Amino acid sequence: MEKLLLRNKYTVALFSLLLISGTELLSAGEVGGLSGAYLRPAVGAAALAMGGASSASPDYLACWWNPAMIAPSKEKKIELGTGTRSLGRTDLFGQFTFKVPPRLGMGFLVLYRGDPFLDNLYNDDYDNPEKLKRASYTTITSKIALSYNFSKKVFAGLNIGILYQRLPTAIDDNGDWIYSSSTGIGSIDAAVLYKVNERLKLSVVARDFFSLMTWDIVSDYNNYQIDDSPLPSLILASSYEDSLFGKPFKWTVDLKGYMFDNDWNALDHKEAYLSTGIQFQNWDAFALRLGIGDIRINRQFMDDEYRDEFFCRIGAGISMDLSTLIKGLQANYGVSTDKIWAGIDQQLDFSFRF
Amino acid sequence: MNKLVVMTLGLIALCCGARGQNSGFFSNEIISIASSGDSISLLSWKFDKITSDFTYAVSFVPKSDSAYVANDLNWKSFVFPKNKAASDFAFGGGYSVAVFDTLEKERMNTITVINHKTNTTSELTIPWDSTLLKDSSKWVNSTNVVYLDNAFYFSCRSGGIVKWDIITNKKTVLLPGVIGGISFETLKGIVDSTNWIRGLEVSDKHLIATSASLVWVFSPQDSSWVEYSGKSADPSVTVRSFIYAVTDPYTSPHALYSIAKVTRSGSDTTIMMKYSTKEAGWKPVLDHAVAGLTFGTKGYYYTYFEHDSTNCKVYRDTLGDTAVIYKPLPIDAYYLPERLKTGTENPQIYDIFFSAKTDSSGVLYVGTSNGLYLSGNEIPGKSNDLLQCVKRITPVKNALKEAFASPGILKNVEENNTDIVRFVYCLSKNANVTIRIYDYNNDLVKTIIEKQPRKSGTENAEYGRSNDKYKDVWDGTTAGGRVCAPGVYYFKITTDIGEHAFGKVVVAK
Repeated sequence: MEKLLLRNKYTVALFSLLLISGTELLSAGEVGGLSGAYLRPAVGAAALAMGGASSASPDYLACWWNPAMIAPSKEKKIELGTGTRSLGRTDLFGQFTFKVPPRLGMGFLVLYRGDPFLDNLYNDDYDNPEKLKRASYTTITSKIALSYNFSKKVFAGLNIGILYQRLPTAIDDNGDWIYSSSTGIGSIDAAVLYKVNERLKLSVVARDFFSLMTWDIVSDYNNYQIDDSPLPSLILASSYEDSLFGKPFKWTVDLKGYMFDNDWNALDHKEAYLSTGIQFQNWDAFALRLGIGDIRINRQFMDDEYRDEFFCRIGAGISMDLSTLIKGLQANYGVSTDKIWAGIDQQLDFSFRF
Repeated sequence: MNKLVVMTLGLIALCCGARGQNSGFFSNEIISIASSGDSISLLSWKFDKITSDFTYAVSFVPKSDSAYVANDLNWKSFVFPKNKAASDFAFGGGYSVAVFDTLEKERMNTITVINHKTNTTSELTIPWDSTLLKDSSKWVNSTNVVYLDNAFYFSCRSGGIVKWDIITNKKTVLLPGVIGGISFETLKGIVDSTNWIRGLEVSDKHLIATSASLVWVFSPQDSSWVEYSGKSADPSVTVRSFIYAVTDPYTSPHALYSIAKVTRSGSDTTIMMKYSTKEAGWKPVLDHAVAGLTFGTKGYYYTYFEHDSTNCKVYRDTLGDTAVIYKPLPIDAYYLPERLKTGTENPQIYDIFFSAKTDSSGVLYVGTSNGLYLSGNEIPGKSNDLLQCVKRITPVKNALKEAFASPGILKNVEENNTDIVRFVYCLSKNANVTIRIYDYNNDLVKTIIEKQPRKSGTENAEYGRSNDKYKDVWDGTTAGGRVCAPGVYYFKITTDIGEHAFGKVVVAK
């Protein structure tokens, strides 16, 4: 047992080292501003608290994090949650997953994400600006997931995403905003999970591949369409579960890389982000979570900009088993810094297993 | 009056009704200046890229006290119909009149009248005969308006000149060469389109009307018309058409000038010409397409140019009747753009107006894209000091308690990469400033400026704003030069004095 534990630790450390060293190949990153930014923040309180490192062993919201994780679960799950982020950004999400014996799992997730408080926008009179009416930015993302259990150790999953965005783009004669929207069907997430043993899981998740959104832009002079493809990412993830001081303990690592766009053109500036988190259950019904996320790994690591702006998220959170109230109910709360010190991000959600 | 600039501004649409009165300039884009008696009146416009509205306003103030004029808050402004193209503007008798050149037959004239005595706005309708309006070969829309002796005069192309007597409220038609007024019912319209009245100016006690082929000087006192043909007194020049004509009110007899399209040495060009009485023909004066000019005293005149609206030169005509090409003396020592400088760019000049006080001095008003510039004691040919800029600037809260992007939405980024947003803020002390843009996930999009010195808004920054209008800007691209995806973006302003602010920008692509 001790040998196995020791080997697992080394394996996790080696895997993490490999992930990090691989980023030596990456140069200064410029993912910011490219399409799909709203798909990048972590979903769910547990993930937020653990720095967004939840791809290898999401306790819940598997449709989002890793569709391969639906099949191993024997229970049906319903999850509902909400969250607020700095600068007025808001989340609302729900998921339902279930097992189709003997080897199949299925799930459906809906995520609202947006900024309903675009209330500090001005017209273009530089000298004497006038405040415009409040606008909102809305996105809705749905994922339909399918998971298959190949063996006791290998699981695979796939989900198809339906994407929607709505953005103010013009103003009518009454000063009311005119919105433009974009839709896209066919965004693919694919995941493979390998259970090395009972403690260690390794996974590869490809996210937002083949997605194409088409914007119907309503302008003042003419209406036109533009294509917009959220940037795909590849995630290498690990999860190691053991005991610490005789209590359950979990350590997770995600390394997310952006290397090419949806047309398979290599990005000029590739980028990788490292996230890691821990979960410690010192009490039977109560768990603590900590994490640090979105550590940008590239050659800018020690430049002025990097040092001045600590572009990481630091998260913490708790989980409470509420089975004494309703059997199978769990509440999670997570809080995290954003990456620009404009405020904090918070998420609260409930998971119900039956 | 800069007809070319004024006439090109705006779009045609229908929307009527005054928006009301307020203090201070409505907009700092001063496109036309008019004066009569003791008051000066300005026409300003504003195009809002977000709302796509063209809005106009008339601001007016007594000009007797230059200190009073120089205080923006003393100006009363009327904001009125939007989405029309203003073509000319005049002031007199307590009224400001703006002509909006619509080509819709049913609304051939939408002349806006502002009564400064009652602070009301109304629409003046010229009672054209319906037959004339329906005639597809004739256009009677007004292009210019001037004020003279209790009457406004409108140049109305095929309809000749319409006189509106503000005392009797009577409207009559004047046709070149015809003594006395003509009723609207009997007017058939000028048939030959080369004789349509396209330009109208006022000088001293005369009107100067211009068609493509002729120039007339009309004296309302005796209803006399003096006609000037397009005959050139210079064998190398052939006059093709006149654009407009003016006379120097400070010379006697008044020298007559025109801006004309000519053929000279086989090539077509636009130049300024002067009429030689002795040779009964036009002679070239300036080899430039003069967009507008105003006469100072003693033969000086201030000009600005069609193809370079930031340029303005002062010339002096001392040649009397002997003008030949290139001879006027450019007074480059008094190169006006240098006197307008307030930042790194020269403002666009839309109109210039000189109002004489004595034989040698007067008040110079310059309407620009950056407000009204004023020289309270302008001595043509001598004054070379900076002009005073009068403009309205909304203050921004100090100590970065307020920061915003102007405009808050960036449109047409992909198609038109000249669109930018400016970050507006005010620091409590001089500081080094960093501005960065982030996307929805708070990933860095671009560093706009990093640790750049900016002045305190409360002490020495221009108009109380610390931002650099030309450097603290974002064009909607990433650090790598890609156009950002549509979405909401966030900016962060940090300083080394601890002040910081956040804001939002929408990129609509």
